[in-house]
Amino acid sequence: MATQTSPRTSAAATPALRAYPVGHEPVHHYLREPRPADDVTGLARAWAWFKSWALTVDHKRIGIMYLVAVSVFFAVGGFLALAVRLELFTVGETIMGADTYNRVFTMHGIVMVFLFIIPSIPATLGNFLLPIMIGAKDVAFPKLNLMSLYVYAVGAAFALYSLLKSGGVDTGWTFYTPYSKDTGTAVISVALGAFIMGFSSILTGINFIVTIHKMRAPGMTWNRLPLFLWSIYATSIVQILATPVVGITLVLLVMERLLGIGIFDPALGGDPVLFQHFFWFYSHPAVYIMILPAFGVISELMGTFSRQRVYGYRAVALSSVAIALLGFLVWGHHMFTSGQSPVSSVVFSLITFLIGIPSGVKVFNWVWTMYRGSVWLQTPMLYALSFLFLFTIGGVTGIMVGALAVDIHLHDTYFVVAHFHYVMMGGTVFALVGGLHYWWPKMTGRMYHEGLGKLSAVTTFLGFNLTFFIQFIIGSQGMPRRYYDYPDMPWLQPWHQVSTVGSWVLGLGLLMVLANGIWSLARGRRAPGNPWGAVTLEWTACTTPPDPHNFHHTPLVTHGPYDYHVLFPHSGDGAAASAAGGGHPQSPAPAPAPDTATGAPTLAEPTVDDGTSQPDPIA
Amino acid sequence: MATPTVTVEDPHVAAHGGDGHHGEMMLVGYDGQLHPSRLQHHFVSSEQQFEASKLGMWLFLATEILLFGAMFVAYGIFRMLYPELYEQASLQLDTVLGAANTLVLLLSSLTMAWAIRGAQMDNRKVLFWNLIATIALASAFLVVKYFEYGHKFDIGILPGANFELDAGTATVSELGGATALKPIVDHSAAAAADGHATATNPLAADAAAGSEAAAGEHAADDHGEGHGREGEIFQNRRAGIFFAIYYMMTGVHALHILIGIIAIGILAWKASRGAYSSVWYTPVENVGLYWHIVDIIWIFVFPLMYLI
Amino acid sequence: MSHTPDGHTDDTGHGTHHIFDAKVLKQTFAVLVGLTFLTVILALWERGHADIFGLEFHFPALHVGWLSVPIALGIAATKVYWVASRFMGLKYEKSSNVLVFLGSSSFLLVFFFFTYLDFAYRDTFVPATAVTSDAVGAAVSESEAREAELTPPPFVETTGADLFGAPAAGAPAADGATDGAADGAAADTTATP
Repeated sequence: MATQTSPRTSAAATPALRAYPVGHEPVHHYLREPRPADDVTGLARAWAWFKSWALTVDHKRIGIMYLVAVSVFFAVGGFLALAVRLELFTVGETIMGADTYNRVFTMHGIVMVFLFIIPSIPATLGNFLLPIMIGAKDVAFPKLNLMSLYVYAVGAAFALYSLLKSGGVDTGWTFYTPYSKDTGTAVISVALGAFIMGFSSILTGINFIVTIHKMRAPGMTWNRLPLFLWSIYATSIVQILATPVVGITLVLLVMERLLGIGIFDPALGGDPVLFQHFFWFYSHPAVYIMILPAFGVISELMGTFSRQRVYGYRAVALSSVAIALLGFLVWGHHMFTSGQSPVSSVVFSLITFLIGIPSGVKVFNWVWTMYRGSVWLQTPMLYALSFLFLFTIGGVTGIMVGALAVDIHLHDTYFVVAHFHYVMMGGTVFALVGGLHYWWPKMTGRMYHEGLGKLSAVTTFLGFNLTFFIQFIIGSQGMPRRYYDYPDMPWLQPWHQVSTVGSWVLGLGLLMVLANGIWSLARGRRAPGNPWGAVTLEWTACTTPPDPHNFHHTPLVTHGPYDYHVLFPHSGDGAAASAAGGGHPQSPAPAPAPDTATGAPTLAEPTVDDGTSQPDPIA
Repeated sequence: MATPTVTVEDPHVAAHGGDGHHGEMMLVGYDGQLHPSRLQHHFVSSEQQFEASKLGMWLFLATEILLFGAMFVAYGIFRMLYPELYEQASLQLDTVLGAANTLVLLLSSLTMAWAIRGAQMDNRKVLFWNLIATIALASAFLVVKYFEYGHKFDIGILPGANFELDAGTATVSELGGATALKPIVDHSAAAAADGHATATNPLAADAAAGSEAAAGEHAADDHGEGHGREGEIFQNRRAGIFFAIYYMMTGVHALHILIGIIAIGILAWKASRGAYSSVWYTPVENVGLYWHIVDIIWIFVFPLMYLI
Repeated sequence: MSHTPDGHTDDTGHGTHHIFDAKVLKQTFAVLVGLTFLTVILALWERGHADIFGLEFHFPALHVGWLSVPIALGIAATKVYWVASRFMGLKYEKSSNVLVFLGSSSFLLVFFFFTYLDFAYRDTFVPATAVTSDAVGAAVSESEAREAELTPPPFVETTGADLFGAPAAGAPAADGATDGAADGAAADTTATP
């Protein structure tokens, strides 16, 4: 099919700010190409356009489609959460009965965990950025990448079908037997849905590992990988090793319901705690699937917005891998009160303490990255700083509940709920939103509204703390989780009400983020090539937004991912430059303004002719 | 727009600094340069593509190892708890048939590896007929399994709650929930010395009840067809657990064999049309790896289920 | 074609493709069949009887007890080694693929080991035999033992309790130093229903 080569410039019609400077328009735009030829019109054109997206193997388009899907499911899960909090607003039944409440919080968990957060950063930002950051034209298996998207969609459909069949499942997202065996709700539908979505996760993981191992650009050694990619790599290891176990667990659960095979049924000689072992062997590493990519995003944000290398590159990189591996040894800390043997409880508790160490290493390194850097408090940085605060609280409270003796009292209370929301939402979601703001210009070619962005950051931060910090308190006072009512503790009602109001503030903040995105797509300023002055490959060697093939010439990597002093030797306070220059002070040249007003790559990265080049009209 | 194709024939071009792509179909790309026809646009070389493909397959096999592994864990835990259950139950599995199936699968692994060798040696006949042989052997495996399952269904060996125990055997639930898991460190002896024996030791009661049932029920062969229902397993109230694991493991394994047959069938069809050669045989290699993992799983399943 | 016939690495530019050697394949198969026979014979010998094609054999059983499992697993592992190294080519592969295979297997072992730790040591915490390590603990258990001899206090619903204030009346004292108080408190709770 013929493709357009002349860009659609309506510069004459629209105000100057809305169009690229003449002559600087990115020539090929992955959102626009491939597209139907100009002479194809009407229904045929619509169909051709649809096929160009539905059958794409471009990792960037797949990433965008994942982003849309994941955002929709986040909204669904979010509404379920608002419903949960609304029910807890007053003692006694507020808006729903106990059975409905069970379904609502279960579906909130299932949608948020399986449909939103597990794919979130890897499938959206990871898919989009991985090949560009390592200098490849696509992931290793682009068609598998597309398949993972469809498998995810089919799995999601199975899971959501339960809403139609029985109003959702009411077992809790953890499906503990024997209730999940006996309940009349559509457990099989959800279990099969989660099983299918597991394949999507596995295919993504395989793709990422092979891409990082085999497709790095020349000069991109392991020590020059951006830290985001190290964390994606560690995440993929976890996805591959852990997901099959939950897959077979859910299949066994389905068989238990269908055929009564009895492995988890004490009436037949089985053991329900065995189900918990099987389930948590995946689900604990799953939480590291959720947080490790967030760590990677934060590394990138801290580096760029401190205009400095991330301190302790090797420590941060290796701690990602350490967390991924250690994460497989701690699952029993979810089972301290299940009747598990004291020997294994002690072992799990000990290793849980150990796993706090690499996380702490990261937090220290990020904080130190800011020291003597040029900190620029743009929206992504606000989200990153929020992450530091919220994740620290979440992580520390995780250690608290990881202490065996303490967990006996805190298990299944709101303390645990607050803990995991601090790490999952305060951690992963804040990192995702920050990363989206950061890479939004790269993905869409537009800038978001900075003022609204900052406001949304502050609002979500306040709303989040209002919602969840209270829950630490009421949890430690004994408020159990998954209870739709608290008649014996009516003095908790004001606390619950504060938390519910907080959830509304949080929802408002997230709505602001959505509004910002929509506004940006409609009326946002066209983005310059490198609005943040970053030095990783996606900013320096790729157009904004990227060409469908990412690069026309394979970049040759000659510097590390955070080598600001190499690429911008005259910026900063001149200290590094003068030291390099042998002592005499340089005339203080202003740092090159990051806003370079062009969509083209900002720096002439050297390239290698490996025989795969394609004609480049710009070059 | 027909892209012109060029076939580079001379195998000695490599020795003289040529591109080494002898006998390979080459296409002229957008850039006017020659590319191997099978090279995908995001890869830099055929070598990189092959290595990436193989690594991807190995990672997928890692997921298979974990998938079956979880069932092995279930097997191991229940074996640890109820060793006599396993000893009794494995008598119901025909060792000879199992050994025959093992040999069949090992032979199929050999034919699969030989087929890959055929592709590597550009020997289309060897490739094709070994693939067919692999399919035949795999089908034989499934046929044997069919007969094994059929026999078991006939005599009432079914998973879980469906297992037909001999009449009069008390099930676990009928014992009033008194059967706790048997600990490795048995405190019942110490407790018995303290005089708390019968009340706190449901296991003794359990064992007593079990042996009573066993003693009384030798000829409980009330299956019409059944001259097959011999063995203590039919009075073991936990028999359903063993066979649940057995059916799950062998069932999922058989499903993988079936998928393998389909995949190898597709390979055979494509091989007959000349799709594979020493220059490009990646799918054959990858399906071969998959097939060997299926064999490896069975190598573990066989002794664990049938022999010990 | 210029490929060497017997399994040396192809040097015509295809780098790392190892061509399967016919002799190695046949040898591997023979080893595998041999190991299969070995494991079957051992198993039947341990059992003491065999039923082959309708013929029944009885012979003195080989008593290995718990060793039967490690032996069978060891033979199986050896067979897996031969399949993986020769048929799957791991012997001639770069280490990353070997690492994938061995790494995933090791995580499986981790899964089994930690689950085993649970089931093996159930019911091993016997409170009555637990030994406390200091005087405070000893006093606590002493007072608890005394309390246990009395009827257990009924569950008292205390609505409106001040959760940040002093414990409600009737709650047992926190430290064993107030032994007498504990006794008095215990007497208290038995009095109030």
